Amino acid sequence: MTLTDPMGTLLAELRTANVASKRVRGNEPAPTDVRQGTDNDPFIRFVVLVELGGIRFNRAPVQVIRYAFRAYAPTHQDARALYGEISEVLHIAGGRIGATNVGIYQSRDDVGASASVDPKTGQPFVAGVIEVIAGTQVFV
Amino acid sequence: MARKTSVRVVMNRQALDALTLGTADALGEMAKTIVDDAHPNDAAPYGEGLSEAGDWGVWVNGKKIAGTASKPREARIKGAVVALGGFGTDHAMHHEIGTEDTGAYPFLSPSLLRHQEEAGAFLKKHVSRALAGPIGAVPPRGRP
Repeated sequence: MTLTDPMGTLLAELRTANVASKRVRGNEPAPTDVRQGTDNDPFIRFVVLVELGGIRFNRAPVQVIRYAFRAYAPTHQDARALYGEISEVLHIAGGRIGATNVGIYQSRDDVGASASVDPKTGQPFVAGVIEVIAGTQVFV
Repeated sequence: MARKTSVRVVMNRQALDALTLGTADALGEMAKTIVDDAHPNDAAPYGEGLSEAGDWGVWVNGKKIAGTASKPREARIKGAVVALGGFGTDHAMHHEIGTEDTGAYPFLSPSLLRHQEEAGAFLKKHVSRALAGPIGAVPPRGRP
């Protein structure tokens, strides 16, 4: 048995909910997501999920992992709305088992929204943190 | 920007009862430990000053009682005891969670996760010390 990684389950849940037209990425955006914000190359909505770290319990087969997500959108208002869509899907979503049999006991929006812009392209985004309580082994 | 402890901070501390002061000091030490144990990547150009920019502070009922950090503008500190720690540079968040063309380098969250289980030990140490100290358990009349 290997230690499970719940990120794939979170990505699948967000894509199933059609968040950002399923443009939900792990760790880094797809090359087609990054635009320059010009008339010929306008910004689009997309989401990037990155792992911030986690702790594994000593006795119970449980781990607590924190993920940061960046919700990019053409405007600040839309980025905040996209953040809300992500939070709606993941906050207190309860126990569930993903398609790869990774068990999640609970996930919650931990710190709220934080607005910013990308330092290179200037695209607005809102960042948030999701804390996930998950099993360390797959459910069979 | 870090500042020296002011007279107002000292007076704010004297207005607190021992239990509140012990709790606040425990949270303050925890925030300081988390910030001190965070290891930002200080490679240029992202890290210029980043490794020196970590700071912390504790506020009780909106009044600062410990630490050298200024209150972040967006932070709400009207609660009973609030401790804040972090890195107050523009690029610290981009460093922590990444950008469109740069990967994430989490340095503060892992430190938080390493030390969050020590909260009980910090509380025990500081509350015990405060209750045994000269301030006493009975606050002066008319003060919080």
